[in-house]
Amino acid sequence: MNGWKPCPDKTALALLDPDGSFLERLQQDREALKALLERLPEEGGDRKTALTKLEKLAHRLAGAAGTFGHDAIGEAAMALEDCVAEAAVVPTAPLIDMAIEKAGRLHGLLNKAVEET
Amino acid sequence: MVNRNAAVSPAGGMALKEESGPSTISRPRILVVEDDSDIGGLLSRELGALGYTVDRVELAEEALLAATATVYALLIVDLGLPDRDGLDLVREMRRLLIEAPILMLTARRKVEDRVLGLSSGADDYLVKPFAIPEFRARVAALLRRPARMRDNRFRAANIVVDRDSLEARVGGVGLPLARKQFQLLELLVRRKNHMTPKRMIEETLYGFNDEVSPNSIEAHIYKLRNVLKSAGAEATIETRRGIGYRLVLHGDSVEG
Repeated sequence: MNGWKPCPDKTALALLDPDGSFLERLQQDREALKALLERLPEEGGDRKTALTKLEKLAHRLAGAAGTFGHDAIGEAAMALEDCVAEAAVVPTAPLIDMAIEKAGRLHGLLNKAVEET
Repeated sequence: MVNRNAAVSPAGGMALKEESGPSTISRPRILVVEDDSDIGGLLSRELGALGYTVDRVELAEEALLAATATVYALLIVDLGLPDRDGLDLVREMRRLLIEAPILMLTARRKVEDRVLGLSSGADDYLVKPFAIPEFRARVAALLRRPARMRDNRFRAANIVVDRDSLEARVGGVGLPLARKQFQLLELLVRRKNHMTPKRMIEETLYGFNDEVSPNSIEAHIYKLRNVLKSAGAEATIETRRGIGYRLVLHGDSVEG
């Protein structure tokens, strides 16, 4: 991310997100991610829709989270986006497993960010 | 400078948000086109704190309305807009001769995407996520560029010569020109309404070691004239026998 390092201290985060709207969004994303994560193991049309939505969510987070100082979330979202993009084309079992694992990791980071702040 | 009412015409249903500090007198005005409300809000706050007046829209169509109604010092355009691709938007803005520098924002990380962004008419490209200090620095760098350096395109009437893409267009349509004819058109467009001596054309088109046939310039002029005419150019190449050539814009006095 352009060589920028995270600034995890709360003061810096508050400067970037003074009204807490980004944090609110992280909360919403956490819920949305949880719902999508539950739909991934099921084969069929629902999984395809879930993958598309997951890619969109990961793409948005990959772009925004790092800019707001949440580098770890941004990087996890980026990894998820790449994985889901591949899984959406050829949804093989190993790719789906990998997407579930990466989505789980991202969900854990979102949890942490929301709980800690 | 600004017709705000035109930019926020209710007919277009446009949601243009003006976000600025306490005084807007003589401040450079910046348009932020970003559908992510968090990123858009962050950029507006940063720019406002730096003393710029900021208009923010979320759709490409709103951006076109705003940019055609207002003279902006800088346009910040996100690539992934909901109603239209940001690249298309930038191309359209350039086609409409909107000359403000454009900083493109995107989460697309591939080199090809960056190259495509710049060749579409953007002046700089910032990949998300980005650091706010870098964003500020890029904005400042774009704003301090002299106007002549911001744009590598030269215009005369509806003719545009783009040195970056090596394309010449009339009314947005590309002209089928060979390399020397392109160079000749660029020279004439840059010297529009001024007589360009034949010798200057030879020096521009040919190197010291090139062999130039006696009628080669006339042949290029002939071909260029025909291309411009059939493309509907609103300018004509005038010949002054024994002196040179001049691109005369329709409606301008020939003796100018």
